Amino acid sequence: MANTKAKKAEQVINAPVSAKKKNSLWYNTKKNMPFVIFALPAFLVLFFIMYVPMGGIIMAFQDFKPMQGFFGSRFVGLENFKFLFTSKDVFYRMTRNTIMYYFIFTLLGTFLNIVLAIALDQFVFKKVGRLMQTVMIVPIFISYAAVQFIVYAFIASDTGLINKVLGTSTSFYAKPGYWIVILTIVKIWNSVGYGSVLYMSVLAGIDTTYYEAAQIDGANKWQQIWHITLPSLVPMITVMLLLSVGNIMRSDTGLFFQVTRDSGALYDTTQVIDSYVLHAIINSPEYGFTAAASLFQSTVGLVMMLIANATVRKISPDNSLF
Amino acid sequence: MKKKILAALLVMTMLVGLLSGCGASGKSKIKITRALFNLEAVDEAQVKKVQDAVNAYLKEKGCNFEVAITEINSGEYVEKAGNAVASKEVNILWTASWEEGKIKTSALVSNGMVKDITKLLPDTALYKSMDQGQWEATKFDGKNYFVPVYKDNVEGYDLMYRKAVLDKYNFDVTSVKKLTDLEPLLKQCKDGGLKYPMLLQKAALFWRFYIDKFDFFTGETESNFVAVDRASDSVVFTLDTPEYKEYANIIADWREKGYVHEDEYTKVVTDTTTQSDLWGVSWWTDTPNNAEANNRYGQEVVINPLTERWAHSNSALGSCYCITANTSDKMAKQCIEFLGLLYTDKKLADLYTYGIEGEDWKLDANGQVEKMGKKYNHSMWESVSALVITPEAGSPADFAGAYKQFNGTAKTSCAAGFRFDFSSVSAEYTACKNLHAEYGFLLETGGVAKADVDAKIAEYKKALQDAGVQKVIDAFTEQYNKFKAGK
Amino acid sequence: MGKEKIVVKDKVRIKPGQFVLGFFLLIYTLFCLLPVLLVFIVAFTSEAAISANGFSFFPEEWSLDGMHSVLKYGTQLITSYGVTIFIVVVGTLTGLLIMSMYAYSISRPGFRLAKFLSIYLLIPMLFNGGQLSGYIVFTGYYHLKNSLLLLILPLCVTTMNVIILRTYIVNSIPAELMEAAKIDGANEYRTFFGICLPLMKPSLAAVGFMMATAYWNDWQNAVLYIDKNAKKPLQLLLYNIQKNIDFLLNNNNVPQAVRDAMGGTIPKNAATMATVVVVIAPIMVAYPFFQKYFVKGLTVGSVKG
Repeated sequence: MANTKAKKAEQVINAPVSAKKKNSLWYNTKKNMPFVIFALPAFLVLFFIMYVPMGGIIMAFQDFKPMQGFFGSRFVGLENFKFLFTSKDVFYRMTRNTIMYYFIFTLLGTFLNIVLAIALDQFVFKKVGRLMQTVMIVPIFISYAAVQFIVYAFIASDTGLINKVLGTSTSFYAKPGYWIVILTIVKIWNSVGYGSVLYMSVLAGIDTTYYEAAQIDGANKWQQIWHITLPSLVPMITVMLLLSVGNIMRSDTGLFFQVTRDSGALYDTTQVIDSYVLHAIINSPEYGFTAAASLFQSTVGLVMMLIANATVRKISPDNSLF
Repeated sequence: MKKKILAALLVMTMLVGLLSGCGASGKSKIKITRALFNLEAVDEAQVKKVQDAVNAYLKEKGCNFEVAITEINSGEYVEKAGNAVASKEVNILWTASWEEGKIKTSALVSNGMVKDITKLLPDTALYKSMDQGQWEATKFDGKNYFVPVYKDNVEGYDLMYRKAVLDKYNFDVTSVKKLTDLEPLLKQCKDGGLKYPMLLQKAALFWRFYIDKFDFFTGETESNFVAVDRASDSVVFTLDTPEYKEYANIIADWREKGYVHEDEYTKVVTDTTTQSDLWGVSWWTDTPNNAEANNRYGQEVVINPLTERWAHSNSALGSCYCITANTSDKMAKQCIEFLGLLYTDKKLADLYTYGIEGEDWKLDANGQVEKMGKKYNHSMWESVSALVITPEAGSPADFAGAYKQFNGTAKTSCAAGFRFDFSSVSAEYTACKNLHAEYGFLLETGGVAKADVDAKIAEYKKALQDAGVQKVIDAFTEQYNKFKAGK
Repeated sequence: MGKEKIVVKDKVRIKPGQFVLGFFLLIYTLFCLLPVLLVFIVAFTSEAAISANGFSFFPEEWSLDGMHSVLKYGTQLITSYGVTIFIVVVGTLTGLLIMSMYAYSISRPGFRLAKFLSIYLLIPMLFNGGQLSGYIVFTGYYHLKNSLLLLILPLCVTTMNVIILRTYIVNSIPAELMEAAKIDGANEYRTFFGICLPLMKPSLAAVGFMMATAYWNDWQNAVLYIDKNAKKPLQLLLYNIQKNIDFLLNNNNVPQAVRDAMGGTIPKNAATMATVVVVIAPIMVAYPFFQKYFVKGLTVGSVKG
């Protein structure tokens, strides 16, 4: 809504000038110089911090030797990508796991973020709500290095709290099947409280007159949520999902490497691309391997993001990234 | 007014830049990077103190160079030291054959990050401070890159028993000639309620316990699928050998009987477990001073050999220094001079290893070192030669002699001096090593049920074949035959 | 329910649904709380009790050893807290400013460079040159080793945060307000700083919160670039213990000497939990103070006029 109004307003303000001149990029930039200046600081930060080191991507195609540097190392084409694919079974498994966890974490996580945000927003006892929110946020500050100990405390086979309470002695660390659930629970514990804050800020931005009007029209709370709250969240949800697609092939290494203690017995459901790459860093002296893996992850992410963005653009152009 | 301020600022910045860039004296500064094996963070202020003391001493000795010491915690060493070396910030680097990633000795050589000092060594104090055998053992392709720290440079493994357990069950350690001889004792431990009758310390030990049969020339457990068989003097695929099956079955059997605890393969065993009374038997790397185990573990333990002592290609590289490839010849000579001084001058050795006398350490009644505090906390094995340093409290009286004798009684392996080059099979080699965590580690630490051992080994072999292990073995076999021919 | 009055604030009537809601919220709160509670308890448990019985809510033996191994850093702890707080404050404020400026500029219709700037923003999120490349550039070319800039700048501008700000500007700030300002004669700067920025408070609060969290938790950059004691942020100091414990856990080939050198007398589990306590305790204490302003910031947008 805001966009079309803006477009109309702009047409009013920009009275026609000579047609040719108006269309040139240079003219447009000059006219919008304040905007260029606004963008400049962040532009420079991104340039010096992100873009300059990006040249390192070339290592993916080189037999990189530090003494020879980026310009002196031998070019080897796609050789470095081989180590990812030589073990077909392993490649299939880790890719499958990466994508599976991506969907579980993103979809379930977003859903729970929203539910929690709405719940806290609707909760009438604000002071209590705030106290609860403080507690829910704390887990994000606990590093996975410490979390692995806590998880162990709960699921150890003899002294673990779950086994003690239930009177069983299930050996969780030996059975891969449980870990999809375990890792999801840990991820939710860690991030939902924190993730809901963003959506709460969106909720706060909703014009209260809509709610007032709806109440006058006789809508109950659920209808209000369905017709007002959720649609207002759609732009942010869409944008966050689109951004996350770019990282579909990447995983939270703390979760998959430290919480699982990198136990080989669990690889069936816990080995993701990033844990394989971490092993390669430890086991291999080749600089090119990890660069190649990272490039692979980036490229797939880019393709997925372009597809997702194009899809969103067809459905509702306002919400696409570009 | 503004212009004047600006000009003044400019001049000041230039001056600061000039001063910091140049260094007060114009001497060459040798940059040393070493690891700190401490749980606490590096205390940079203390390191600087020691560094200044070292420089003062060097000045006294008339050296025309200084050193700048950087310490990095062990947990970050691979990453940080690796980055530092790759960006040419380091001159002398401490490393080891068992370190990981880019600073492993074999990785440093294959990436061309170390300087060939073969021509620079002869007739230097450093070269003369150790016998030729040490220098030969650390060569790569006939060239010297590494300066070994003279310590227990041979490999042998022992079984370690808690004295309390031995006394309780009246067990005679000399009756144990092979692993299965332990079973009577383990059974008694288990029946007596011990949590860890056999404590593996979450280690996959095939490549340690079987060194009498094989030379594991890759020097790491992840690639223990390939080794040199001593009997046939050839490269073998260890998973095909009866020994591997035997070991996997022993451990699986012990797991079933409860001698090996689940905590081993789930990596739950902590390093303080060895200090507790929850275990019966464990393992120990043979050293000249096995008695220090009592101190380490806070209880009396009895140590008895399980394997012989061997001099391998990697045993001399358990701790070593190297000079980085970006160091000029002139500075490399100075580095060698410094290391030579470190290996022959007692005062410098003590200073470099233990820190400032009176602050970090003091001498006890026997003239041995007693450490005070953990600010600057190093040990001989990762610092200097055992032949020159003042030993720590609890060491044998003739410290240097004990080490000489220990190293002297080793058998030289048929594959000693063999360096393998994996660059032609790099992708396959990495992929194979990546499989260890889910197969090899589990097979060797009780993660596989007894009934499934054979199936699991078969699975492991298949996974390795898929990853290209045959190519790796063929490459190594070819290289080893060349090595044999050239001997 | 019966006919509501036109008074919107339903303060007086508390429907039963609220109690159900409260119940579920309480469950989730406990779910989050229990592990945190365990952390605190274990930090004060003796290592011997942990070795024998594992973690427990009711330990057999209490001990201050865990906390001591962390608190013995003494004044260094205070320095590190100071460094971390400095980075959080400076980084968050700077980042919020320059990112909202960038977000504003790419949200302007009719600004043709906006598309290029959007793509320019998205690429670093997907592609990066790797750790070594960054290290060589930052320390070798920029000579920023041990500079706090390397702790602040990398987290200062992130794609996700800029996009969030842009989304907020586009969807929640009516264009009429800005056009009205222009007609009144305000230039672009006045429009942005005077009208747009104040209206962005909710999203600034949210993004600011996320940035502060990222800065507080950041350890990677400090590991690589900071050696000097005076510049060490909190995480670097404390997570050394955990990183070193991990090193022993994961490196299969370390010799006995290393294990023994590091085995030492540190109570591993208690010390790890103690480091967590030291990191999160200030947050648990300080956050309620900020929460007031934070919630105010979040809900500012709901009052529209």
